[in-house]
Amino acid sequence: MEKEGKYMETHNATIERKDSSATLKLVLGETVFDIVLTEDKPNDVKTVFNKLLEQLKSGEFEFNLSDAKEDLYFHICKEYITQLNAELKGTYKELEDNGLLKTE
Amino acid sequence: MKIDIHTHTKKVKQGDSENRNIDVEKFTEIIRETDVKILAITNHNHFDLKQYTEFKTSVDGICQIWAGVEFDILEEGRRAHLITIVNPKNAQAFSEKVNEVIGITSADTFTISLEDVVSNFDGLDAIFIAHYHSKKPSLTDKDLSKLESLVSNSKRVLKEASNSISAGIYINHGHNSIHGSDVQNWNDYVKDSTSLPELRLPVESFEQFCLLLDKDDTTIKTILDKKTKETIQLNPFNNVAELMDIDIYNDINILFGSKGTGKTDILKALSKYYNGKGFKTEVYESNSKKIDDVFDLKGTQLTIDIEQLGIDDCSAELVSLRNATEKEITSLSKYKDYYSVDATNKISKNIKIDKFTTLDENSPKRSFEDVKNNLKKFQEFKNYYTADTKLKEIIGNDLLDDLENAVDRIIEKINSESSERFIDYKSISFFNKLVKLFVSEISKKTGQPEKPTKTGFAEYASNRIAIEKDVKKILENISKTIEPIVEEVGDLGDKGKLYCKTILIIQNGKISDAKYKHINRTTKIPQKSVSDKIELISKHIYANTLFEKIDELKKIESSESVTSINDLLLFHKHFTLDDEFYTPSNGESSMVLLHNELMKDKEIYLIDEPEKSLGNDYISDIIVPLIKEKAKSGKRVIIATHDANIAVRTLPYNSIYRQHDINGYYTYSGNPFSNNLVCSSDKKDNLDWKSISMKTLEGGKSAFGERGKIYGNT
Repeated sequence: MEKEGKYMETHNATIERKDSSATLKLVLGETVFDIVLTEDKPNDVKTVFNKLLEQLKSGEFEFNLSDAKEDLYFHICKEYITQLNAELKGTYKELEDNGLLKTE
Repeated sequence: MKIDIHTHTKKVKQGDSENRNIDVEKFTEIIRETDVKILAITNHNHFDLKQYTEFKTSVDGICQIWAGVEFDILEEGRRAHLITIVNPKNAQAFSEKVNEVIGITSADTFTISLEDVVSNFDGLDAIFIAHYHSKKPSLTDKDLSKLESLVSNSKRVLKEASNSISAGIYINHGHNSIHGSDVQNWNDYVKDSTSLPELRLPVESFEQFCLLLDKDDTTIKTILDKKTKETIQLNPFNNVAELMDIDIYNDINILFGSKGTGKTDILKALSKYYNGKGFKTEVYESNSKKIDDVFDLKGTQLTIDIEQLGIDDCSAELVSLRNATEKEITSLSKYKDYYSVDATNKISKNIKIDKFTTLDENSPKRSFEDVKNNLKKFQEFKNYYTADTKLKEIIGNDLLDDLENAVDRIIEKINSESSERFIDYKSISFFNKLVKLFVSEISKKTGQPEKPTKTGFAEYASNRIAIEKDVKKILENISKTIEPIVEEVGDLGDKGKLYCKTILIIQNGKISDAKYKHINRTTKIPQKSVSDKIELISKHIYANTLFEKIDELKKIESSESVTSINDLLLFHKHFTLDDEFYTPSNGESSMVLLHNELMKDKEIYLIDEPEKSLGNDYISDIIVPLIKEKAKSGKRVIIATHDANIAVRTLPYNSIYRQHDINGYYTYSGNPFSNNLVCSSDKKDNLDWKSISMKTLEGGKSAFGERGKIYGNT
């Protein structure tokens, strides 16, 4: 998708399932941000949000969930990613409106 | 008002310069450029009545032209020059006499004896000005004694000096002396005329000049009375027995006398009197004020509004920063709870609206507010020009109609855009509300957990973005530089100009230099810590520790006292010379303060001992001319002084002398023109102004030695 001369990047999101836990993995290039689905750790999520926000200053992006198993975690992550993508889009516009995007 | 008693308008002798020739047009032009108000034409052994009349007529009302001749005198085989100037009323007779005396003899060879000069011209109401001493070829003292014995009034004999210094010395020795330009080149006359003698009293005629030479009291009084004067009764010593009436002229009034004779009290009484009449006066006392205080180096009166310097005070941003709180995000367990429970209610299963993702409503809201602001500004502009009737008169109806037309079209366009954006914003807002309402209601009706509608990222990010924006704005404004405020303090002569410089900086958390002080603060405020913390916050905008840092800012003791960038302002006010830090000496401080006092536009100047800490040169070259300038423009300048430079060289219209003896205090008044001082109580004989001045004043003798610069009357 082209936006104001720039392509919006699409990054991969995956779900890592273990015995008693599951984690949504947001992959931004070589960096992977983890959101643990089986525990409530708001500070960890905020840390990820902070990173996403910083990353958003460099360009608009969204996530695409790649997962084949339609279990509870899939539904959670699908909804979460859909909502997050919508919010990333709005936030990018807000950064832009406030002149806080990084200039090349 | 300058006087020139020795000019040449023609090359008469072979040795005369061609540049002495001048025509009436050029003469008029040059005289208009000078301050010369009396000029005597004194060509060598020659008087041209026609030229004299032409010149006189051409500068009538600008400059008095007197008729004269510079005669070659032959006495005992010695040659000398004697200027003979007659009453202009006798110019015709003078011309005839000159022609008769000189006949056909050439100017180069003509000579005349003193007896013949006097016998031919004394009857024409003449004054005689002899070349003297260094002014060659000069008459000897013996020749002058002879001349004085021959003329009907010896006071009509003056000595011409070669310059003002010599003239002053002759005057000091009791000789009436004056000097003229002896013009060599009229092209240089405007410049040369500045060193000519100045007539302190406005002499209106040749006759009046001669009466002044005679020290004629009536004439002096007549001239003095042309200046406005006021007789003031004072009680400076709060003692009815010492009530005094003193005359104050709209000119220079000097109070002098030994120390302890009450001069300062008289000045203060005058100040009280004038203040009572509605003037705003105070006695300027040298050394009573410190230059540091006058220029407020401590900054007690310093008020700076940084917004006027193009710096935003960021008060709103500081409030927002302090009030900022973390936005909570949606817990992951809410998603897990929602998806862990199967929806069993059939109706709720069929409802799709709760499945929608909420939309970003901040962006359309901002978009609508932008256009709303545009609309507001244009409407304000329209209100401005429609309400301003004067503007209407200036630009006219046609232009105003054009403007009205254009503005109406713009407002219409903005209105239309505004409506569209409002609909966009509100439709998204309503949509989101609808989704949330359904989610909430379904949960209530079915007992199932509520479906999360947002991750919380947008609000979380929006909060941080707002903080970043505020912090960025605060730091940008903190980092702005302010042009120093520089005001001229005064001239220190050869050293250059003294300035007072106020350096203004905003505390950025790194300034520790103690010379920078807070503005308008009696108590210390934690400027440095606050700025430092804001800088630190800027580095934690996207860290989980952001609100810890904001809390640290709030916990700084008295940090609430920093409500705007104005409170972070620091100043360093100091004196500079050549843009370098400089501490003026006591003398230099006195110089500039007195100078500044005299430069103030006042009606009445009351100055006590201006000479304190000042050098003679500064008094003579700067202060005396300034005082005279004030007098010229009719200001009342009343000075108590011990300094002859001021008391004598200003040639005051009024000298008030205070004397003390075993029987009490006495007040005399007089002036240099009549050269006497009259006791107000009639208990004492008149005193000689000159001898009292010389005796009482510091530097009296030398002051009289240079009085030739001003043609007074002693």
